[in-house]
Amino acid sequence: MAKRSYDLLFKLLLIGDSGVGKTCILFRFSDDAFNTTFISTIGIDFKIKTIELKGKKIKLQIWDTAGQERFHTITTSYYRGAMGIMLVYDITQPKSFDNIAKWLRNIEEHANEDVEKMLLGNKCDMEDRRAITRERGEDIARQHGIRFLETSAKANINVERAFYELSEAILDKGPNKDKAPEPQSLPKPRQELSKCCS
Amino acid sequence: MSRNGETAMNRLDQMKSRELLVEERMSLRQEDFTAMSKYLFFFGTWNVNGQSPRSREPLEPWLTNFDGQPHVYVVGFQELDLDKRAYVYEASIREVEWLKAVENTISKKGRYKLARSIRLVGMMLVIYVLEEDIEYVTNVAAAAVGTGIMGWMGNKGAVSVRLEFHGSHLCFICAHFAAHTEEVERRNEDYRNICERMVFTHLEYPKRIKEHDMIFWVGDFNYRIAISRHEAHKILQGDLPSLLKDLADHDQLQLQMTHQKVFHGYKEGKIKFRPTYKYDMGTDMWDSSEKARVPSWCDRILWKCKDGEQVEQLMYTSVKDLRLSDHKPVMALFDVGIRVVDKPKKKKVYETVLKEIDKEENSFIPQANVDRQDFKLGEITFIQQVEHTLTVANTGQVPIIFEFIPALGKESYCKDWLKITPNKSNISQGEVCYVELQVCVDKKSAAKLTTGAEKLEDILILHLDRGKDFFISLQGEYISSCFGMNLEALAARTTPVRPHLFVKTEQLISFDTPDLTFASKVALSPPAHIPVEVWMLLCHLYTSSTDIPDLFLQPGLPEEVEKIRDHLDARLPLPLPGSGHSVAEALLLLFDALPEPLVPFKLYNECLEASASWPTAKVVLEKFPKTHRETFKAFMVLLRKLQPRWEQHSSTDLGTLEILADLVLKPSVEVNKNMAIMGAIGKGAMKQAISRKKTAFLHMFLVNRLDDEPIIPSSLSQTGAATSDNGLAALPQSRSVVTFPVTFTD
Ligand SMILES: Nc1nc2c(ncn2[C@@H]2O[C@H](COP(=O)(O)OP(=O)(O)O)[C@@H](O)[C@H]2O)c(=O)[nH]1
Ligand SMILES: [Mg+2]
Repeated sequence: MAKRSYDLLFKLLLIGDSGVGKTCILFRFSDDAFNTTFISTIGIDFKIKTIELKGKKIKLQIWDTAGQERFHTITTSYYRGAMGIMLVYDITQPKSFDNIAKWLRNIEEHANEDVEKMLLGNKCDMEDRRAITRERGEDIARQHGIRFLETSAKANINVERAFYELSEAILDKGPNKDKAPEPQSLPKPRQELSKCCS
Repeated sequence: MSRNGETAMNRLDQMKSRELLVEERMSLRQEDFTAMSKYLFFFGTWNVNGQSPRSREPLEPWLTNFDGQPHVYVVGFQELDLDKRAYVYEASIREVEWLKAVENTISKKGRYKLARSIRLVGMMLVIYVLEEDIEYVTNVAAAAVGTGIMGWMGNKGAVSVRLEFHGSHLCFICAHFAAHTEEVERRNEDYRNICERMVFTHLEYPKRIKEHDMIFWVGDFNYRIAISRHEAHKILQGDLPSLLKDLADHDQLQLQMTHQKVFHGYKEGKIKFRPTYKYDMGTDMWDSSEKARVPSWCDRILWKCKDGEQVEQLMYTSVKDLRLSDHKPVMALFDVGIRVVDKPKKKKVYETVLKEIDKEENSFIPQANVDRQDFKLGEITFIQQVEHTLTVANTGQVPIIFEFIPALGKESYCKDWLKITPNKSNISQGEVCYVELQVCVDKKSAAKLTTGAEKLEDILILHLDRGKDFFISLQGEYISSCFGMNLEALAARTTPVRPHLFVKTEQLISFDTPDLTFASKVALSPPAHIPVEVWMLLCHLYTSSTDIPDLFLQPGLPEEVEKIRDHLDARLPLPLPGSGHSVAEALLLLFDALPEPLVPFKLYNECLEASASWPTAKVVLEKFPKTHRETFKAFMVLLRKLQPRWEQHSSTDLGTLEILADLVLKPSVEVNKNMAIMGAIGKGAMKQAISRKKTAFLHMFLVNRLDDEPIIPSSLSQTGAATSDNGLAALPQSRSVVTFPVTFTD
């Protein structure tokens, strides 16, 4: 009879080259706003957002990571415990697209085995400067068997949908369905902590 | 419970309280997604004195003889069952009988469904809702409180049902308080008791009576009219309006309510009916028994609602024609404003509320700013101190705790050459904390940086408790010094370690002179296999420091040691700058910073074992690599020269040697680790024994002389006197300071 609507906590992670728009995507989703000034994320930050999916209230804890090469070894240690990962590239930056394979390898090596993945080709509002066709994005996503969407944090295209689809994929996976809320353990890069949360 | 389990529990609690917060916010915004609609409610109460309903006395006058069709029937009974067995047994025939009677009667008004009924001994409350409305009735819960015998038995007390009708939260209570005129305080107490103890626990979040939008009490509250029977009957002779007024002045309930002793905040409609108690059964006659009870309004209907709610009483009366009990039944009709939910609107508001709460929660995540995330350290050499300040500002809305944490798989949160103060602290809202970053490469990291195995860079993780992490990069260039270099590498060098240093210094000009003292030349061209820098230190100490007390014991001055470092790295002529203490410290520092100590790791144990036998010691020495052996020998020559001075203070003799022995004879890391595993007591004794052996080993080389010891010049001003069999006096060509940017005319 009672409505149990505080069911679930999902931890999501945004990764991809620096400058592709990860922080903007998160900001668009959490605050429904866009900021053109680029302040490179140097570290790990998160926001929370509650959504309703299939009658369940799901609290998303979304982690935004630094994209720079030199931080890779550190940032990969935050992958553990993430239930979903958004891998973002910039459709106007071929380099960010070329790096997808490398990011996927990182996920392979450092994330939980059953993590849900999604590929986002961001900045799709900039049609005039497009360097990667949608087909190429779809192809690579298909090859790796992951979901794909083109998004724009600026024009608010598909951002909400991306998070809902990723969350739904996590929700639909068996074991999580009736799971009690997980402890909100921050993905501290400490060994002992990640051990105790595994 | 495990630590992890606890966190999970806390998490759940947090989410629950979040859920309550959502509920609270929703109820604050109720008007945004509900429209108030009037619904007709029937309320009835009757103390039936243990009687069954009678077919010849139908209930229509009580339940249906009015205009309109109630959406909800709330009917309360008291003394439903006077059979003492009702105290014990759950089932009661009376319950079924009366339910049937009510159901049959109200069916004349429409099709009703029982939403809930509850009985405690003689008290029963039943709620019927029109069939078409029943789907809007949710979260129905019932509870009972006994206040009777022993304070808890169910002969007195209350039964209660709460429910949500559309968006309105309603609570109905049917009560039976203590009897007898003088028990006013007891009745007040019953009321308080019920309010306190009535909890609807079968809900996701338990609720109490007061947590409802609208509350209705029906029942036999048993408040009396506090006058004599004689007086009462006199009043009752009069016409109805004056009679009502005169009696009301003595009605205990109204008096108690005026004094806020009971039913605080409740309303009652104006009483326009005769007292409902006590009649001779089956008649409309006042109690003719011996007890001759004073007629009273025992049976009442009260309500209370929150601000903004709309409740209007349309009718409040008793029913004269029902005579089976010594009480008359009472009924009331209400137009109740029910908040009917507009579902699409509600969804919108709900989403807004969630957003709002998310926003608040996000704003309570610890937030901070750092003034720099990238530190350029520049060029740094051995023991050079460089300090930077990192300013951490709390820019959020809560106090923060920050801490530097190690990256995954690392043991330490920063490299050996960095010291962070404080490495953990809390900062109040709007405050800042200055974190000192002190960079200094010492023996711990010099070797790795010298060989290039590591770079002078680090990424720190500044973690905010329950918040984000900052990455702070530090980057510099390590300029190798003779300190931290491998002895072999140093001996093999034909050029100064940092020649450019020399070019930069002013000394270039003053140094531009051909008449180097002979000793300087000697010092700068040591015997084979001894590094120039070590030789310079040995020569300096040998010639000018023999008289200095507490050499090797008293520390030097840091600035002087740094000058000596530069002097050595540039291979400038002797004498070295600074005091003897500083030079002695530089020598120790150089030995201490060797990646492989003077006594190679693998010979460490053999040396300890040879500590009692000079012949064995000599054999072990032969196993040393050349550079280590020759340097060791030269060091022993210096110590032998210094020894007489120590002997004047015999107490410090072994002390000095012990310190030196510890520097020269070091176990490898693994051996050290094995030591660490041992128990504390054994370890202490073991340490002492080892220390004695180490000292003894060195001591042997002081009291015995080797045949081929290097000869150190005895004076810096001495000219041409120092000769030795290994041709020291002749300036060697290959190992001289050929790269000096000055011309060396001999
Ligand atoms: N035109 C356009 N610019 C975007 C979009 N998303 C981000 N940007 C811009 O790209 C730059 C980098 O964005 P940011 O979110 O900081 O990238 P991050 O390093 O991946 O976090 C900023 O200047 C943004 O204004 C988008 O969807 N369209
Ligand atoms: Mg970013």
